[in-house]
Formats: sequence, structure tokens, C-alpha cells
Amino acid sequence: MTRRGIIVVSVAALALIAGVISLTFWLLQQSLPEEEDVEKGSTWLAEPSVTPAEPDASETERRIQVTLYMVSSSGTTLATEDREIPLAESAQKQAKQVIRELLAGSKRGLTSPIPRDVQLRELFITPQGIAYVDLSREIITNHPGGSSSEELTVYSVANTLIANFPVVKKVQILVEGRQVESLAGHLDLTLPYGRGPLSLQQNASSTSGP
Amino acid sequence: MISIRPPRPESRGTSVPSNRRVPPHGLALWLLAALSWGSLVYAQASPEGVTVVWSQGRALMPISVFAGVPMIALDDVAHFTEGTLNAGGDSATLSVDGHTATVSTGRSFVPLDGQLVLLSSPSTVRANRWFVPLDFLDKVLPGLSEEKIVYREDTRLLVIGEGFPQLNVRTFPFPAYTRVVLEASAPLPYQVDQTSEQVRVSIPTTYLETGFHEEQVRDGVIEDLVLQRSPEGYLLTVDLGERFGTLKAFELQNPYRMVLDFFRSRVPADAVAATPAVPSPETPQDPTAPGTGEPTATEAEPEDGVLVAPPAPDLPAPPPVSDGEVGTVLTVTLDPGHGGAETGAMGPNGLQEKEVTLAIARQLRDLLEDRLGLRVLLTRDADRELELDERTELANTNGSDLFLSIHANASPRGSAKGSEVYFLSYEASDDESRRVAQAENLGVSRVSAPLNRDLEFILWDMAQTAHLNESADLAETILEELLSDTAESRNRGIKQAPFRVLMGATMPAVLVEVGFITNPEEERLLRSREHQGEVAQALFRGVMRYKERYERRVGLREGTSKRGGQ
Repeated sequence: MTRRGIIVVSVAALALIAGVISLTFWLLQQSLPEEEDVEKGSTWLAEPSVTPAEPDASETERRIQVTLYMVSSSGTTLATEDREIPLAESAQKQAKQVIRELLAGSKRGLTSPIPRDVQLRELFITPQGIAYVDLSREIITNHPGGSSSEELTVYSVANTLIANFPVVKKVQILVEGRQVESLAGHLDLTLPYGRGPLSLQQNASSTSGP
Repeated sequence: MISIRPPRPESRGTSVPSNRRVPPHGLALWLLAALSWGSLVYAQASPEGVTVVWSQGRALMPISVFAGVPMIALDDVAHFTEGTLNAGGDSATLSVDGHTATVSTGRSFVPLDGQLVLLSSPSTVRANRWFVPLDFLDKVLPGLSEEKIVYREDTRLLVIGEGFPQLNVRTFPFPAYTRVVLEASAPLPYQVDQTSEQVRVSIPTTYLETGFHEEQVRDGVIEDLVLQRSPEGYLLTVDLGERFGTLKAFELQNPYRMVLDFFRSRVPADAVAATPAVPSPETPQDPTAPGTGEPTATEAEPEDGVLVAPPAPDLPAPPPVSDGEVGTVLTVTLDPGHGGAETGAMGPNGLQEKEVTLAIARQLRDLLEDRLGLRVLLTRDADRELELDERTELANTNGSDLFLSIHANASPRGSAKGSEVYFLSYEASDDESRRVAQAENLGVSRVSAPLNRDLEFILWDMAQTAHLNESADLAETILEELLSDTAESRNRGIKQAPFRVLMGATMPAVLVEVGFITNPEEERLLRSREHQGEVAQALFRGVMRYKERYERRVGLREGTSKRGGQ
């Protein structure tokens, strides 16, 4: 092997090692390493006093309390459920985590407003304050139907994002990356939704957070 | 053939997005402006003045800023309201139309006919003139003047009396003719003159609120439209194109419209074959179109804006859609929810929503036909899947007077029970106006009250907008009957939601949730033919009572209730 060849191989090896190291480091930084976020134009959480989590400080992981909207015992209104989740480094990532928590259902025995097996495909927040929540097709195929159920589903997503993220003003639900007419044949989902109407608000007897 | 469609937002000159479900911000803003104004902050006060629209025209009422608070002089207010101001000592009394309001220096309270009104700031005296904060115009003035008073803080506009007519000009291309509609907030005097090259509409009125100046149509029938103001009034000139044949002009009421139809000289044979007088779905349809056949003023369809495009001149007239009785409910479209593969909700014991809704709709049809002699259409009379828009489309094209969508509700909890009736809301949120409206307990029947205000041009782009009042009324009679012999705990109320199936309806439209199919007891009832019959009876009574109320109402408004059928 020539001297020049050795140099080329060494440089290549060094580059490979550097690549592996930086990849490992990058993975450690990710709170959700399985996916890539599109962070363009993302908006930060409106909590300036809280600093983002350190790259690999799992023992000092910062957590925040979020409010999720589940179905109250009445079956026709929404009830809140508070939960602590790790602090994410951007509103967008945090919003994804919050929606995944919502999709996973209640930890306090409340009924979930979301049909089973629904996955979050993507979520992004526009500078205008509209959160686009792209859900998998199960949100339609597994939906039980009925106006009330559909209202609970749509407004649980909308309320959850609007309540936790001051930057979010309205929520547009997409299914498999597309705008859909409706989830169950009632509410027009081509519109972005704001916070749910009073008739969906939890009455005093319903279960709440801790 | 006839075609009735929901109004579309497009006019030729402007590129409005084709999404016709734009929320009526006008309405929302109006409620906001009208109801939530006490909390307004004069952050970016532009202290030029308040624009006053009154009987003498437009004027500016100067604003003075004292200690950072924009204020207006009470003598100015007296001037515009033709009131008298008596100032003496540390108080001043403004008398208008027999009502009095007294302001005192350094006090925010204003006794108005003996009742205290709290203003945002105290009144003050400067150089022997009395000054009050701007919310005087909103809080006190309406109680003083017998004239209608509308004050808008966002634009600092004060309208005393009915204000000036507003005018908008829109064009709609149809295969056989091009329609020009002059939408006005009040009837206007006008004269139409035709030369070989131009059609001129002169409107001898001193002032119009209008944003229209000109539009280039250039479809061969007409070329350019120009609206000009002159000392004699306003003049709309329409340059005629080579393909122009004849002109038909007529009026429509509620809201007032002048319609000019410029017919093509000849309809090419291939165009007739391709589109037999029914505009393609892409063609913007006129929300203001008159009844079938040759339009005349007496065929005006004022009540609900059901729109029928006239046929091409050389085609046979369409068959009548109804037997021509006026001011009444003749045709009802029933919409059994869901169908086909789209089963709707399902009960714990397997009952499917689509079966229940169809069974009830069929029984209701029989009742309405047999007992009221109505023409009843079902969007589906079989177990088949239908698009949501197809359902209203059927109601629209058949000139229905009512649209009733029948559903059964579902909840993730089996305990949920009861009935409710929805009518349309364009707001997919609990925006401020809705919250305020509920807080004020205004009730559903006043939801569309701002539609009558002439400060806002309510878009006609949304078919259901014009019918919200009637829809709320229908919702009320139906819910009352549905609950007439059940427990109050089943009352889930009248609600509004942005339901897709109600959006395109050009007639009063409601969606009924007859009960919860997910509740085992209600499922059992909904499965029984007897209970289905009871529900159908209740819906029948609801429609009948609505029909009676409607006929009584239109009977009071003579001549404005004629429907568009022949």
C-alpha cells in the first residue's frame, strides 16, 4: 500500500469514527429518537423561565405538567386529566408528546375520546397559531360514530393543544396527511377548530386531575 | 331543467378561495363589537375623530385626549343627535327625544332616565365644554335617541339612524346569460337605459357605501362594468359585447337586489348539448337568482334565497317544482343519517344507526304526506352510502323548504341519554361572541339578529346563513315535541355545531339526534317500531308547528313570501 493510500484510508476511518460519535451524541439529544422533526418555523413554549433539557441529563430530566382532555363520567362532556411529562426542547416536540399522551388514553380511569390504535403521524404549528395534527386512518375507521362522540374526539384534541400551548389558537386535524370532510359524518373537519363549546365543558361532578 | 345550488363566494373579478365555509366573521365581529366593548383599551388611539354617519351625510366628530383618555364633546353629540345640552355648575344634561342623561365632573356614573350607566372614565370640563369618554356613544346614546344608534369602536364609526344604503355589484356567468346583481341594503331608486353599446343603471341617491368601482368581465356578452359617482347620483355602465342578445332586469327582495340578466344572442348548439341549461358545478351560481322560467319581479324568492337559474331562452320551461302556493312549506327533504358501508353509530346490542334513521324517516314521510299533503323527499330510501354534500344538493335542487337530517347519537359511555337538535354554526370554536351570547342568555332565536344590521355586508357565500333564524325556530319546535312526553333529563337542548351536512342547505335545516343508540335502554327503544313511530310523530308535530308559525309570520309580511317555484 502506498503512503498516499494509507493517508486516504486513515482519513476515511477518522471520518467514520467522527460520524459515529456525532450520531450517538445526536441520538442522545433526542427525546424521541425514533423520528425526525421538521422544525422549520417552530414556536417555543411560552415559558421563558424554563430551560430546555440537557442533552444526556436523564437524572435531572425536567418535567412539566400538562392537561389532557378525556371524556367525563357523563359521557358527553370533556374532563381534564393532568399529567407530568418530560420537557421537550420545542413547542412542536412537546405538542407531539402531549398528543401521544392523549392518544394513549387516561391513567385515571377516564374514558378516552380517541378511538383505539390511532397514531400521531405528524404535528406542526404554523406561525399563525394553527396546529396541524396528522393522525392515522384509525381515527376514522375505528371511530364509534355519533355526533357527541365526534365532538368529544375533535375537541379533546383541540382543547388539549390550546390549553397547553399558548401559541396554538386553532387545531386542524388531518388524516393520513390529508384534509378530510369529517371523521364520522357530522363535524366539518375542513375547518380548524378552536376550544370546544360550553356544552362540552365538564360539569362539577366529573372527575378531574389530582 | 332547473338547478338550485348553494351560493358560492366567487365573483368573477375577485379570486376568493373556493372554500365556501368561511366563518362569518362579520357576525362574530359584530357581536364582539356590540357586546364586549366595555373592556376595550384605547391603546392605539388615533385621536382624529369619530366618523359620524347621520341624516345629513358624513361628518367627523373630533376626539380630544385628556390624561390619555380619548373623549368627545357633549355639544357635538347634541348636534348630531339633534338634542339639547343644558350645562350648569358641575353637571350637564343632554336631552334627546325626551330622554335625559346627566354627566358630572369627575364622575363616571351617568344617570340615564334615572338609571345609572357606568362609563370607562369620568366626564370632564375643558374650556367650558363638556367631554365624555367614547363609550358614551355605545352605552348612553342608544338609550337617549329614538333613532337607531350603532357605534363601532374598532373603526370609530357612529351611525345615527339607518345610515346610507350599501351597494355591492357582483357578476355571475351562466351558459346562457351573464348576470349582474346589485346587492343593496335597502331598496334604491334606479333607472335602466339601454343603447346599442351600453346598458346604464342610474341610481339617483346622494351617497352609497360601496367598495365596487369596476370589473372586467369580457365574456362576449358584457365587457366592462364601471360604477361612477356624479352630482346626480351613481351610474353603473355596462359595456355590451358582441354576443349580447337581450336584457332582462328585475328586482328581488330581502335583501334588496337589482338583477340584470344579459342573455347571449344565440346559444351554440354544442353548448346546449353539453350543458343543457344547467351550469356546471364549477360555475358560480347566483344566490339571488329568481324562480324558474323567465324571471320577473313577482317571482322573487325573498325568504330564503333558494336559487334557481333561469333556463336558456330557447329551452322548454322546467316543470313546476311545487304547485305554486305562496308563503308556505310545501316540500320537505328528510335525510336519514349515514347508510351503506357507513353504518353510523352502533348500539351495544348491534343496532345500527343507519337502520334507525331510515325507519324513522320513512314513517315521518308518510305522516307528512298523508296528513299535511306535503311533498317529501328522502335523500336515501334504501341502505346506501351518500356523500354529505349530496344530501343537501338533493334538497336544494328540488326546491325544498325544509331540510331535516335524522340521526341517533353515540357516546363512549353507555349512560349518556337524551335528544338534542342542532342547527348550523360556522364557528368551530367557542369564540367570544358565542360565549357572550350564552352569558347574556340571548337564546338561539336571536343568533342571526346582526344579519339585519346594515353596517356589515353579510356574505351570501354561505347558503345557510340566511336561514339560521328559521333553522333555530325549527330546532325549537322539533325539540319541544321530541321531549313532550319524556323526562326533562333527556333534554340535551338546542345546539349549534359546524355540521357538514347542514352547510350547503339553502333552506332552514336542522339535524336531530333522536336518542343515544349506545345507551342500552335507548337502543332497545330505538329498535322498536312503536318507538320509531312515536319519534316520527314527534318530528311530524315539530314540522307542523314550525309550518304554522312560519305561515303566520309571512302572513304578516304581505307580498314578501312568494316562493321561487312556478
